[in-house]
Amino acid sequence: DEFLEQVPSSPHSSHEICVIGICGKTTRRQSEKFSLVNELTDRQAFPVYSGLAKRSSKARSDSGQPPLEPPIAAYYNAEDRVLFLVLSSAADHEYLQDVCKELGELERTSHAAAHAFWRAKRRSHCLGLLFLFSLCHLVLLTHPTCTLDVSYDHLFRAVDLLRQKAQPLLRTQMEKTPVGSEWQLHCRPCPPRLLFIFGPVELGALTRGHENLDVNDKPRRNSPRRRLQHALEDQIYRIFRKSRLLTNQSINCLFTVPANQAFVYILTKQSQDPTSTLVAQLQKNCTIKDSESSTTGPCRFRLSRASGQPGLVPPAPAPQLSCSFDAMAATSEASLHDFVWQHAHLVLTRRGFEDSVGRNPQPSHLEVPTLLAWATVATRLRVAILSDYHNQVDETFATAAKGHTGSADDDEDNCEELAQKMKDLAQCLEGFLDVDAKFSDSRCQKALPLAHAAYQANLPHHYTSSVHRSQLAHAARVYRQQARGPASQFYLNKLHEDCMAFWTAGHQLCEERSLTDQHCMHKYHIVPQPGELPDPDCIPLVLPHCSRARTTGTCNCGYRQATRDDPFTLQAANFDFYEMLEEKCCKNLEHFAFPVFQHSGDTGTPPATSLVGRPHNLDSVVSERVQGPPTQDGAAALSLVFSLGQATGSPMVSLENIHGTGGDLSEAQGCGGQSEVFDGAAVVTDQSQVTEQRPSKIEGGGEVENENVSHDGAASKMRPLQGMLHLGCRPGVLPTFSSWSLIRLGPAKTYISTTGLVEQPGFLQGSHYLMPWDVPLPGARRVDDASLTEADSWPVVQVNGTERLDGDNWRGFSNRQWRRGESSRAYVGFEYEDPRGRRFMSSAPDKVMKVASGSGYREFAGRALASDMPLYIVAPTQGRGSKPVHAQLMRMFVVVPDAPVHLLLSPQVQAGPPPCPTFVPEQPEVELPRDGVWVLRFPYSYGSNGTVWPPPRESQAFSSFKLLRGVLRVNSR
Amino acid sequence: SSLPESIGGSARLTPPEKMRFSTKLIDDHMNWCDSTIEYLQEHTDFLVVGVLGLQGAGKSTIMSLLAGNSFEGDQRQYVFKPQSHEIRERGGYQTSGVDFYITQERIIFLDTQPVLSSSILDHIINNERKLPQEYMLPHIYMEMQSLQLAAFLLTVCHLILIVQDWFIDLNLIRFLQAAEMVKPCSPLPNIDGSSSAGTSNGSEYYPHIVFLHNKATQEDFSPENLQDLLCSLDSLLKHSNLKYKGSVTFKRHGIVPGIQHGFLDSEVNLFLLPHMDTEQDECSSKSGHGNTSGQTFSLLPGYKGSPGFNFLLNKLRGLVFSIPRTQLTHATLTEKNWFHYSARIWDSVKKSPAMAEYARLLA
Repeated sequence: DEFLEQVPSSPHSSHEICVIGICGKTTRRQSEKFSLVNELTDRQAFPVYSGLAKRSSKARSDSGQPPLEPPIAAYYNAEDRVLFLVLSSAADHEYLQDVCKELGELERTSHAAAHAFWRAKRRSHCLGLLFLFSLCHLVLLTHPTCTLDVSYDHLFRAVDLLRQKAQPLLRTQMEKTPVGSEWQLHCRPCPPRLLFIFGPVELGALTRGHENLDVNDKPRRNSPRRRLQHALEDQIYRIFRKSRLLTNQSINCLFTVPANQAFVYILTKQSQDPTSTLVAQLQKNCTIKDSESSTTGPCRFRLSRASGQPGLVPPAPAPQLSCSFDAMAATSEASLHDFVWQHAHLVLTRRGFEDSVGRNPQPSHLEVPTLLAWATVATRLRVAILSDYHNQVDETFATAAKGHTGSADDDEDNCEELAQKMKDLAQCLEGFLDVDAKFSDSRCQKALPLAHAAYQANLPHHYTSSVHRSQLAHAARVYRQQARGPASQFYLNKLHEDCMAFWTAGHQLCEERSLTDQHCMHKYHIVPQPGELPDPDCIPLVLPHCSRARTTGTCNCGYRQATRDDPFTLQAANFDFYEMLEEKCCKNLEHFAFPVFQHSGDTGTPPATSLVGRPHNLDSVVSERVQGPPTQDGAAALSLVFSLGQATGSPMVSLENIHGTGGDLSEAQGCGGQSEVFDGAAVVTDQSQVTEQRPSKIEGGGEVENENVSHDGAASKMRPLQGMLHLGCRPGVLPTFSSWSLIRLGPAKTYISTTGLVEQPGFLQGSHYLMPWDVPLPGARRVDDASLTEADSWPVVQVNGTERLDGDNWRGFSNRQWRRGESSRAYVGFEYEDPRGRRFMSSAPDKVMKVASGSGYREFAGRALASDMPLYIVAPTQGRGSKPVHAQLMRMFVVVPDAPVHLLLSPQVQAGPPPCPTFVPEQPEVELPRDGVWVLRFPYSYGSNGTVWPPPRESQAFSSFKLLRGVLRVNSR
Repeated sequence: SSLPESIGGSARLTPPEKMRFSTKLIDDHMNWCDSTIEYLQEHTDFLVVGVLGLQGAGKSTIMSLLAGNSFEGDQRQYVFKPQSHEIRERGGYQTSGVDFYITQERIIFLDTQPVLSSSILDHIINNERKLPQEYMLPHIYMEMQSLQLAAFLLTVCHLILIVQDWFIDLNLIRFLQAAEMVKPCSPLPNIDGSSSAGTSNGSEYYPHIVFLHNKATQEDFSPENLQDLLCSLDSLLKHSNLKYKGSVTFKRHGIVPGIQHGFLDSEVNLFLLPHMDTEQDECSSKSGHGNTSGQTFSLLPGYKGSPGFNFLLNKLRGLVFSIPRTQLTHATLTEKNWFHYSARIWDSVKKSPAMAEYARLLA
């Protein structure tokens, strides 16, 4: 590059010169083209070893990114009046490494991009070749082995095509140059001759094989090398001739080859590298005066040949010209210098190349320019041909062009235009050069319809995203089998887009899944806003979700059943359906109102917080219990023990309190009447305290939420809770509706143990009985031994004995000096309901109650109460198919006797495997007032914070769905 | 592997006949030869090794050496005929079509004619009458012939050696990628149940590719140069589906002593073999020359920069023979099945519409 700028000031600018271009492939042995020049000029024109490193490092430091233009190095040998142009390309190993690193640094991972990168490299190589062929008299093509690389045929045809297309363009550039009219017309000084220099043949192998032969076969005139050379010349001529690169009229050809001169030269050197040279020297130095034999022997390190004094150790280490082709000097055959010079001589003596053949050869022109004139042309062509690749330095070249030509006013505009045109031409070239991309493109295009067909095969009219994905994966597999090459990713993306478009264009199924994990049956639609009516004509449809699954549900109190649609929201699942039945059935019964979020600020403050300031008689044991064990299971289990123990343990302390609240309660009941809805908060003061402390305990155990709670606690109270209340919720937040319901069916005496529940529809035969549960009355004598284990103490002793008759147990208790009058009998029942509305009681985990008619149920409830009841069990009923029906725990019946017992109801539901929180009612603990048949209705579905915990699909998973034990216990006061 | 599978057939007890020389699998007119099947048996444990490379790269020589010939031995005894001197002088090619050889260890070697060869092209030009109608130019016919062979090998071989005698030839890499594109599709596992069973093994079959650099010089063995070479190959082949990594590498086996563990971070299948000549020089200098000098230094082996041809060849043989033998098709093939399968593949390769399309694009 700098060379062109230096030309005008050079003392040789008036020399008439011969221009020799060098291109081709080289191997790892560095800078072979450079060393070729060195050899031809017999001096170190280019640094052989350091040049490349310098070049790459310079390029990096200058512009940050390596230059894209094909690097052309120039060297002018003033003695011989020969100018060398050396074109490097990705075919040179060293350059290839740089390019690969460049590609690696770009980190463009897509195949197409990498392919385009290489295509750009090839294109720039083509342009570089065009540059060479337009400016040189001779072009030397190097190749590292002794075969013709047939890809040159294709490459040269591409360059030829490009030249023919570009010629009119280049002609405009040539107009004002100080060169002859022939040059201006043809855009080149002469049809250049192409000379081939083939890499070192293993002459060793060739000659050794022939040493004997040659001795026997003296008459053969030519050496094997010469014969190979002739064979290659013939091959090359035939091949290029066949592809019409070489025609009769040389003026039309991209290049010519001489008809009666050698144009193939085969190098014979053995490769030598510095290490082996030095080792050989060392060896030589150490062998004593044995150099005669070592040079004549088969030792391949013939080092001292250059000095011409065998036997003398060279004074200096091997000269840098170690790659010189010195071996040739010894043979009688022409040296590389002679080979090239016979052609260069023709140029310098203006005799020209008469390479046309046939009957009427047209004379070919030849012009030998001065260095200055050549440089002018070269600068212009450089701008024209190569400017595409150094846009960033365009400016400098434009100015350079100005300086040299003087008439460059319109150059700049021209340049832009020209560069653009060249770019277009080069684009055309790409189609010719890049068969692979075209092929890949067409192959992938053909694969695409197949993939589409594969996608649409067996598709339902509407389908979900999972169907879409699996069909797409299938289609992609079909596609991959057919599609190859760099374009495949592009069309794969297209396939994805197409299939996506197909799916979204009216084939989409609503993705919403119901709370029982069944998907909506409608195609894609929009859920109507509250107050909006469904509009089936609108696009997209405005419809509520529907899974078409219908189940039979029972109302809050259990007296009435109705079919229900598969719910899609928690409100529909846990509130709306029951609210609808309330109207028809249970609205006249006495309700316990679970607190809910209310929009008006004051009333919205939950009762739990309002209680904080109130004086309350919190039992120390209660708080101890709350703060004690960290895990919820343990807490629940222990709390049962504590409460039971406490009931008998501290009669003196608790007596007053119980009486106090008990009295209040009876008062409230007395004046409120049966149908009145009473405020639960007033009743269970300390229980709300418990709920207050429980979440805080959890947070204290390392919850990150801690901060949030402290600073937006107040704000959060203004917002309703999404989903259902669980133990992980911040204290004080409440949902807008209650998912639970607690209703008093009537006084305790309405339940008759021998008949069981009456007027409740859907119960299986013999499973509508509640389990008796003896609750000790306050003041009853406790068991003195405090160290009694759970199993030994009453009533947990019942846990052991399902085989034992209750009578036996009872007798066992009487042994422990319990008297009948000191306890009161309550009844408990866990009711399960299957999707078809069939209901049954469960007497213990996974045990369906079965009682012979008329006898009543006599087994005690202790075992059920002391264990986690499963939320789902396999129903004893038959479904439609062979699949077992799962029944869900829906109701819990408690008959509180008309006695001073204080039963605490605190259901905690684990509705899924571990990340699932433990759900509790909006008021986690409720003390049931005495004398009543109470029914707690559990939520139909469980969900929190947008996560739905659907029922398990397989009965194996049942174990993680459970009602934690401790649901009902005796208040300890 | 040649143990009899059952005692029943007495024929199975006799060891398979040892082949002395290769036979033609595909002749020089690109026709399938059926005679080879007589060397094949009903065993299923066999390995197919193919070779691709430019003219004169040393394919036949290396295949012969892998197949058991020793490099000190007479070249005329090689199972695959190496280039003769006359042919080398003519710049010609030795192997035409595909040559077949099976060892007693049931390893099948397929030696092929050179790809992208100028002398084959020259040959075609000289015998233009035989040029099939559909090809406009002999050049295209030559290229398509090369592609057909490569695509065939890519389908029926477990492992393909890419032999090069100078460093990475970009054209050869591009050729390889083109062959990958025109390779026939592996047959679907089962046509009826493809949607259900297709997930597990519906992928295309691609063989292992090993780059074998023949006639390497000592500087090629230097760790820096190796590293450069590996990186270049890696970035050239990054998007190829061919299994060009991880099976035959210098890295794992500590073959080249100068290379520390972890130095070569890329696991491209690359193997270097030095000049055979250097080894022979070594031998001759030891026998003929060592006595005269009588010096301690000449008794020591000369510096070669590589572990020696024989050592590397043995290592290569070991690595090649121990590559995982993945199934070529969804069903397990016996040797004879393989033969029929290959014949079918060759037929489909020759008639492949993709090939025709590629040829059309070349024109």
